[in-house]
Amino acid sequence: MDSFIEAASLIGDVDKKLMVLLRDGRVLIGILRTVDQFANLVLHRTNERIHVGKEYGDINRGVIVVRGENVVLYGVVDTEMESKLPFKKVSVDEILDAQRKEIEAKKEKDTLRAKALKERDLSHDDFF
Amino acid sequence: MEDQLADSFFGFDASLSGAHDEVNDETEDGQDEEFYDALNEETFGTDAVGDWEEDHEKLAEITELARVRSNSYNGIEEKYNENGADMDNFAGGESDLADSISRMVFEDQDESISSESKMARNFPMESFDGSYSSSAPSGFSLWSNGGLSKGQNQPLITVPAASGSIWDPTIVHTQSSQKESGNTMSNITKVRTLKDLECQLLHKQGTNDSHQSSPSHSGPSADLPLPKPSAAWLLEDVERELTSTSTPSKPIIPPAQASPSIFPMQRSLPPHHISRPFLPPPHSFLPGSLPPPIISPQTQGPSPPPLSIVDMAMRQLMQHSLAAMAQNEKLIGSGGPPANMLLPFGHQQRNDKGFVDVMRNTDRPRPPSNHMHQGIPNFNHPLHRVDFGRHQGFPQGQMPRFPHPPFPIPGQQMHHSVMAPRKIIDLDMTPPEKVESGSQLTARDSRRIKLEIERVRMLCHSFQGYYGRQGNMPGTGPQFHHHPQSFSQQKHQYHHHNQLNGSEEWDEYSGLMTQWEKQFLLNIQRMQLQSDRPYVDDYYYTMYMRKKRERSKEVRGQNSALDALMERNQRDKDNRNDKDNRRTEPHKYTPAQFENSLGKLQLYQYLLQIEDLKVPFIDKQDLTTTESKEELVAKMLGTLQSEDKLSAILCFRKGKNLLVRFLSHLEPALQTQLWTSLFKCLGSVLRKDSADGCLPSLTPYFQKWVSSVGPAEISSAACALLPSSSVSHSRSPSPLVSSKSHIASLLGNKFGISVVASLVERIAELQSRGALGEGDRTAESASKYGLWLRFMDSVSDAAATVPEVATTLKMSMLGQHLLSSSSTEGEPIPLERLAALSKALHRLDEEVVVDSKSGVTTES
Repeated sequence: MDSFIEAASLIGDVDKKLMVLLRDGRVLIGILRTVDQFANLVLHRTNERIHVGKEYGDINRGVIVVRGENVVLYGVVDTEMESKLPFKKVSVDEILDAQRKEIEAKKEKDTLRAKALKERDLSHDDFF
Repeated sequence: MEDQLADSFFGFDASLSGAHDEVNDETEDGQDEEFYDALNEETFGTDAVGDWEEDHEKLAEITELARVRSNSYNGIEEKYNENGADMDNFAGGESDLADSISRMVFEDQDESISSESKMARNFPMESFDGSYSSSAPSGFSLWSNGGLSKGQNQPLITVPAASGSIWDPTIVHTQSSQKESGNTMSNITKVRTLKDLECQLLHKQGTNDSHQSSPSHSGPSADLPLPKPSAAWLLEDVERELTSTSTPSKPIIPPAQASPSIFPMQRSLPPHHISRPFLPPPHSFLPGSLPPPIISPQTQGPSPPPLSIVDMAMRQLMQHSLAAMAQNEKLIGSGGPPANMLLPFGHQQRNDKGFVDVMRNTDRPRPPSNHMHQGIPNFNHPLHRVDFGRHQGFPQGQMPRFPHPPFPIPGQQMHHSVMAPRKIIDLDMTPPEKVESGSQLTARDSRRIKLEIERVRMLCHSFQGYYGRQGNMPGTGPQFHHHPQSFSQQKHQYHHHNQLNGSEEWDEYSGLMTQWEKQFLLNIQRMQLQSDRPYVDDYYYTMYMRKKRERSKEVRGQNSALDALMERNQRDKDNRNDKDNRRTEPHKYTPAQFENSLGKLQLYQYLLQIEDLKVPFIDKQDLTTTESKEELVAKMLGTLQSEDKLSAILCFRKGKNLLVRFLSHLEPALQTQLWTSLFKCLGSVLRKDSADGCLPSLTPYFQKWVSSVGPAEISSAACALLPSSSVSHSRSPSPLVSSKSHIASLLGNKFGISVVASLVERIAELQSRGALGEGDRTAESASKYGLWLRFMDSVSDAAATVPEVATTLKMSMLGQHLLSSSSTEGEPIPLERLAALSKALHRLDEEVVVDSKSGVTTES
């Protein structure tokens, strides 16, 4: 019974390297040290990973406590696969810059889209 | 040094090491293969493929002439230190493992060997190399060949790019060390086969000079007292017999091919490796990590035969060859200790002499087979038996089986197919501190090795207990577990099984979450699965289990005795489980309950409802409650009259305001218990009120209550103010002492003084009216007088300790006189005394008021 539960809970992943996706879209990669029944997580040697295209950058976050409600999903990182991913690691500054550009581009695109929709008497909300 | 190591044999490819995993990995994605192949090509060049048999023959010739043992295998540019002393350099990082291995080997060896320990240190490395190139058996040959002698010829076995892959079991290029280049270079530069090396060893043994070759000799074999030469010879012999008919030119292993010869795998392997451009840099201490190429080659060609099938075929061949082996046993028996030491392999059959036949089976490198990876060390493994008896005086046949081999044989670790030996070797090895950063393969290897080390360690611990109970291993205990020297020299030891985390990396921070904590969480989660109504909450599972039980009962029903036995066992098991559960859940988990937490009606809401009821123009329909005021008040009183809750509520300004507002709705008759409770905890409440200053707002309500109640209520309130000890005991100095601090604390506070003064005034008033004993029976009134007196004494004494009050009291000669006089119980309290006390208190009260004008609250 315990093994069954353990397999279905975070306890089985303690001391493993996890990727955690937070509600705000941030991705944390760290070693799970402890959890509780609320899925509050303590991550060790944590990096916040930012992906932009084929590039990514890690921001060192050290030990981090994640409130459970912010966890969207998590997964155990396959460290062997991790090294084979076709992504290129870049410096933090570079990735932040790339991220900023990406966000700006997206914003600009959204603006254009909204404008185009407005010209056609459509509103963005119509799609929802 | 590390660079050398990185490229050395020890950096096994991870893919090979985790044989069972490798297969899966391979099938899952072909990236591994490609990657490894690329590595191979880089290392050995594209022309790595060649006629390895010819090379072998050449090498054999050379070897015969030179009789130089190649002690280590190197990558192209790698060279091992000729000096054994240099092995210390391995200490850092990954080299630790190799070093520890070598030391372990050395320690286990005969003392005669010990003198040559330095040389022996190099052995593990050599053996690794050998095992690597030729898999397990090669490891033997290396042993026999390979001790490095100080200053001796140290032919480095290197795999030239042209020779084929490193993993080619049979082809080894020997390269003399720079020192020795003059002498041995010419001899060693050629490729020689393991067979040849083994043959040489055999010859040596035949002449009984195996152990004592002169130091000037190509050292390794001579230096090592190990009987491995003989073992190697045996292996070689078997191999010849078995493979004489089969000479696969191409390494690819068709399933059918595997069956004919025992060692098809070996032969087939080289080609695979050759095909690979690059060999991953070998890890010095990655015994478990086998080069990925072995596995990967198969993926390229026609679908490779299942490894397990290959293994089985090999086993069959081995069995057939056992007969031929028997002849060799004679040699082995005479061969001396080394023969026993070799044997890293899993499928062994032990003969009368304790010789393990298994050696022959597994020596050749072969693709890791899943079925052979049991994750459990094979304790029947020859390693366990090897040479124990000799060293410890055991007859060979009576050798105890150790999970932990006294001599770790480096070459064994190379053997992918057999987990047990590798694990055993890994025991007590220091985990590599660093993983080669540049090579993912290396890191992978190290991870696997660490994991296996950990597994083996745990297994050995458990088996240790078993053997300890067996009690048939006199004198072997310590060796079983530790090699003192090697341990002391190791930088790191595995103390906790949890130091290998899920990603199989050494992690000193793992295990921070204790088992108890995990169990605690599990219990919380398990609560959700416990149900009083299993047929409602979990119908399908419940029914499934019920049917399953019934079915099994029917099956067992035929045999009633058996059935009864089974039932009893089941019952015992259930009992055990219950006990376990009780042990693991000492108490049922109850989620934390917070007073007035969400979802619970709070006192303030009661109060608001009460206040709503008093509002005349509110419609009854708008009322949030249908309860009457009395009911609501009773509910609030029920909570507030509890001393604990009242003190908790009064810790906060909001709670104190609540009490003030509530008192306005409370008839004085209902306030008695409330005041009594308040007075009992007044000390702490007053202390916490220093910042808020809300309590003085209670004074009007208290005075109103005091003036409206009789002596019975007042006495209860007075009792609450007195320390319990002074109430329960007759008048005595001691209670006064204790009461001093309590009431004195009241006198330092505005509200406290008001309370005491009001009480004293009321008592004086009642006394003056002669109503103190009103309505009481004689005995009660007598005790009440005593109470009054004690109360007054306490107040007087406390007042005397407060400078302001004392000054006031001193000003009144009457007060001093009264305070010094003693009253007898049962007599009315002298009015003069009360008046003086009251006066003093009031003056103090006024002073406090004056003082507090600059404070938080003032009350006129």
